Amino acid sequence: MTNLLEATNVSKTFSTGLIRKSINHALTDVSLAMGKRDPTILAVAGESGSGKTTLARILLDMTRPTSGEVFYNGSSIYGLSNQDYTSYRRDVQAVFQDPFEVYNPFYKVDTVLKTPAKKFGIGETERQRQLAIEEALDLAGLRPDETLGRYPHQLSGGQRQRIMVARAILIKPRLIIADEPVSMVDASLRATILKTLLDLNHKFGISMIYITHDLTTAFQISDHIAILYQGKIAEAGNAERVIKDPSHPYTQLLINSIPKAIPNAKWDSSSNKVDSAVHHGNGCSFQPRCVKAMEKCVNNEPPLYQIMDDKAAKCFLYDKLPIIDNRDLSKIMLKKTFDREKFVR
Amino acid sequence: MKHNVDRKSKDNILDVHGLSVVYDIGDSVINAVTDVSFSVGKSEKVGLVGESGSGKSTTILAILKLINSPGRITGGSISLSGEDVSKFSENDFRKIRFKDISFIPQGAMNALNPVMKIGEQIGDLFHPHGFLINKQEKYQRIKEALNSVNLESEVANLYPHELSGGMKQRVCIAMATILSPKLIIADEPTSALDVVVQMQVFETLEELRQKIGASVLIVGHDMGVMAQFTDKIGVMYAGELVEFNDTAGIFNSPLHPYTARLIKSLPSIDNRGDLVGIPGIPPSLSEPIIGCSFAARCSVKLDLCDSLKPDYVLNDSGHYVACHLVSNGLSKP
Repeated sequence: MTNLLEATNVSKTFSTGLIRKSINHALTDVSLAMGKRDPTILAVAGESGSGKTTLARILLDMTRPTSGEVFYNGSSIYGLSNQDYTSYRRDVQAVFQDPFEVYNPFYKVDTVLKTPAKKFGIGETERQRQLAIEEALDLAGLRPDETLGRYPHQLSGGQRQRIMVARAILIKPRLIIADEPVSMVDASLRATILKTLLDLNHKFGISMIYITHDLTTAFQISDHIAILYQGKIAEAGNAERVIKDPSHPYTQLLINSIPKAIPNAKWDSSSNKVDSAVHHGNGCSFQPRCVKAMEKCVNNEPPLYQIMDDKAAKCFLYDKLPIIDNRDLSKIMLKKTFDREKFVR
Repeated sequence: MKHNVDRKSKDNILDVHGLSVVYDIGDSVINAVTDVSFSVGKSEKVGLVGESGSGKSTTILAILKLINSPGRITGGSISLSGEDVSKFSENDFRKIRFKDISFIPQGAMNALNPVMKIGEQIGDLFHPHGFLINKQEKYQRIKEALNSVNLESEVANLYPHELSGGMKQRVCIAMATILSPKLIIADEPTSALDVVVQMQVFETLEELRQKIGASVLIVGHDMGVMAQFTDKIGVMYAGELVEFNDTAGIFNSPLHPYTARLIKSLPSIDNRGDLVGIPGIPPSLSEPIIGCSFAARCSVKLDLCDSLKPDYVLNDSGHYVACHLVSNGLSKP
């Protein structure tokens, strides 16, 4: 069975400087796949500069990769017919980070809903489109009469972000790529928006790629987590196992750094080594900051080792275990890993 | 809101009493902060939490005497070690900034002068505050300050754009502690940083704070950071301080329904749980709020909540809360 959307060995480099060129490897050899059978949620997590937004832009065809390809229904998105490209555009929708910058302040918010509805032929008459828009707003947790006919500045950040979610569901996509959808939203609304996303996944079978720097929310809603470090997958697999039993020293450091909202569970800085040195060698890119670094990490790059059936980590600590190709890794992340029934009501 | 909360004392580093701040926008008046009172004791770390627009940043700007037009302070007093500084002239207040009361801004990215070397910017703090020291001594102090935040002395010769976000925030901490102030005020100091760097920055801040024995007033919306760093927390909603308690109390036995819902809405890394947000949005601040500001979103409100503003209820340990449920004995402080 072909996958809905698949990226294979995608890399992206940016070069800066006119005379002395410096090359920045934003993304190196990343593969991931979203299947058709199970609507899953995959979280891509990493710090700023880890390449997660570059990956989202590549999947949305807003940036071309330097090497590697993206496939939609088994065909490369760079060679689709107009008709197939339109259906890719409809099936794969985006929700972006900043609910302030995506609106044109001179237009009422209706515009961002009516334009795509028309473009993708939602409903045949104006009236049907209006009903579809109202239904989408309702699903995103907004009251249409309080939202339509207003200008962006008359709505709160949370409302604006939910209109973006409504716009994404209006088109009835198969996959939503959400790039930090809640990082600029207040805590009390964050849970509501995440729950809406989980609801959409469960009730309408919409898959999701949730791009975030926040492992806590990633753990809450996703089946699988891929941790990116300097453009490479450091660890990926079943969300529960990545969070509860992290294998890569970087994942361990990330999880220990999360400030828990529990006053007596104090920060654990034991896995932390302050080193501002930028990595220049050929070895593991995390090695300068790694408390468990070994001699061979300096000049050799570790492959991905399969730790369990459904998890792999790119670290020499596990070199007794079998090596897994990153395209095979993307295949073990196609199934649901938790029962939504308990969490959506 | 009537005040039976008066903890003014010489032992407190900071006493804010009945502070109100408004912004004049066109014809309307935005009540950004309404009648806020709280204290910060010696060596205490106090956090102010709330959503965007709850008035937490305006409160600290008022304390730092940085409210400019269209903002205006309409009431209240602010005392630093018992001395009312709200009446200070700009010139007098300038003398105590950084020396008695220092500030770590939110966007360390924009807080430093881009065309001045780091060392010069730190060095500029000495002269206006009466530290007339020679060049060599100044250089030594700058070096020590940078080392104290785990930066190398050579950073003094760099420009801000040559530093990472975490390094810039460390420079700001070095500047905020170099004159050993009594009170450090921080506005979401790490909200632009990654979790790993965030932890390092807070460890550095805590180490230095203990060394100089300063108190900290920190503003933020990350409840995790607040749980890890603070001793006491004030919860702000729609410009009012609705609850104030020690950190464990806020998390373990919140009394105000807003605090309780806020704590419940926090996702956990330990268990996949029900995601429950708080329905509704905060009230508009351009119209006077009749009754309790949280009433419209409150799931346990009483009839009188819509018409009567709740008074503060204070217990012996300094825990106070403004909620009719508590004042009517329906839940105990």
